[in-house]
Amino acid sequence: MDRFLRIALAKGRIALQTVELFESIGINCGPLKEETRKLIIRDPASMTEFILVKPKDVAKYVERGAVDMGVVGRDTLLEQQPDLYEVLDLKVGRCRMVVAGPKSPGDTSNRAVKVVATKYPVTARKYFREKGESIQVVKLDGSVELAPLVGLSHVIVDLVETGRTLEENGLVILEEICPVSARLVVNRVSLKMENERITRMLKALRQVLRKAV
Amino acid sequence: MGDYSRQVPEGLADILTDECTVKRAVEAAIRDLFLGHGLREVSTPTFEYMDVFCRGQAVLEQEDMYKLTDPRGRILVIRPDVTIPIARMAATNMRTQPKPLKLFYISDVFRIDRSGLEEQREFTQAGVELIGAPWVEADGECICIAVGALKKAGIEDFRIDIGQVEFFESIIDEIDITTEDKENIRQFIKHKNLVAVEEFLDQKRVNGKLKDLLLSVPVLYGEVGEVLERAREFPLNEGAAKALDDIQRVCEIIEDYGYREYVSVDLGMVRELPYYTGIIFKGFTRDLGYIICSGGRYDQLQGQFGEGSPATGFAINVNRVVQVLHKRNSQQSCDKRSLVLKCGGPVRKRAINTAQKLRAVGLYIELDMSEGSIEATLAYARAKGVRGVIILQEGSRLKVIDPVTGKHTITSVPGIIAGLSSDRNKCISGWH
Repeated sequence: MDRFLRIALAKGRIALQTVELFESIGINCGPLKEETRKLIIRDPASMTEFILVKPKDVAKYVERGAVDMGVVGRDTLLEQQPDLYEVLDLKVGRCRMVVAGPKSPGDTSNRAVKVVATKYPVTARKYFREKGESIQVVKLDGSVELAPLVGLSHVIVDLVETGRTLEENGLVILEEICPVSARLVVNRVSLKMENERITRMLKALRQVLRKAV
Repeated sequence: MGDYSRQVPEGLADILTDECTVKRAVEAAIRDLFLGHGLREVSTPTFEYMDVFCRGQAVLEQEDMYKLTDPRGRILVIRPDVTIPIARMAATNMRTQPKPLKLFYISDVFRIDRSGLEEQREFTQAGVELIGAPWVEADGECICIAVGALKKAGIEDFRIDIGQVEFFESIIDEIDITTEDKENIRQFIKHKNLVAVEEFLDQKRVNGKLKDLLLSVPVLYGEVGEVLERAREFPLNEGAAKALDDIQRVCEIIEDYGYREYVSVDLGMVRELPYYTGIIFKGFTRDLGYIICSGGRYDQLQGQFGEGSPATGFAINVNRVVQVLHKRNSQQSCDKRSLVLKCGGPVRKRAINTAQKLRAVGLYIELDMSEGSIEATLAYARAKGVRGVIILQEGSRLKVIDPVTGKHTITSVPGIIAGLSSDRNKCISGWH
């Protein structure tokens, strides 16, 4: 145990819930719960080191071996298809990837190609390709719900947690693509080289998760 | 259009002096080890017809290959892989040669990476192909050659994970599912995604012992004896049992070589290249998050070039080995054999003469023809990490100054040569 085990956490939505999970298996993440500008936080007692990065970047750190493991949403994994081990469903940050659109489709319906606005172009293309539908993707970075309202797209592919944003904008879920939650991912080399520590951590996390259900 | 005249394309890189020295030394060390195993070197064309890579099992993704057209409009690709061209070569130009063919290569390969995550689009592979070798002992030999080569290249803290594609393939054949579904679960197993494997099995109504076994495949990895024992506790079909026997036999050979400490087993390693048919393996080191070598058995590949012959092989990613060595020893110094000889003016002829004599015994002599001062030459030598600066003295005497300490010795050509043989060992290993 001469080196720190590095874990990348995504800033934002699921960070707090993930931190609680790590605390419950005896890793002190105190500083992570406070408002901090530090990007690297160490717990020498457990020889663990956390780094905070943007959700979309977690897989890159893990895949390239800059960190040993990371916590990342399944939505991001589906979109980036990184080469790593996806070892555990942490069951936090649960939501759904869906196709949504206006209750009554607008006057664009006579076009053969469906226009899809989304932050997840790979996922959207794959989903519609498997259904045998041709689509045109408009990649947006935010407020995707707006696109069908102003005629930028027919439908959207996006994450839905409670459905309130959709409802308030007069959109409905048309199709469910898949459920989404936070996953624990591990670098392919780290899993083998740090097998003992990682396996121990996985076992502890599994136990906590089982109790929570 | 932007101006790219000062850029190199993404994924390609200039290799500067220190790194290039290390890279060539690694290549030389690996070549030496391969030759020592009785392997013969071959080289395939830098580009060939795309058909070579797009038929049957030789399927590389079209999008991953750099393409050119020849003067008659046919599509060529820049060497995206070496195993496939060597299979072609063995099945055509070498088909009458006695088997097994024991070949090796050190070649650059070029691949377009679409994910944008891979930093290499050009890299050097040092690889081995044993063609016409159906016995599992050949797989063991391959792994031992790979271990030897990595050690000889200077990497110590590495491991080779061994698997056998037929373990998973024969188990999954017990379930009646489409090729597409098979690929899906293969991917889940590859990523050790137990959640997805379980969802998949529930969906296909796979229960009981078979479900337990498939759920265990991704976690059946670790120390050889222990993993084999755990795997054998399940009721296994003939194919899966044979796969375990293969692994065991391979590991016995590795044991004979004394390389046991370098290997482990991962039964969750699935077929990633369509042509793999048996033992597969991957090498990695703690210092790098990437695989540094990989290989396996490919018994059907030769067949599609008209001359079936079972084969096995592997390739080491030389650039990644260099990356590891560089990381560990970032302070590269110039070769111990390097000296600068101050020259110029009336002594030029004698200086050239002296330089030639010293070069003949293996020293690297750079002539400094500038008119600058001795101090300037010393500063240059210091910056470059050169071992000494030679100044011609009266008669046949030479003054050798250490550019760092400033200390000097008076000697001669025979004197330098005598000193050289005393620390020959140090000089030969050069970049260490």
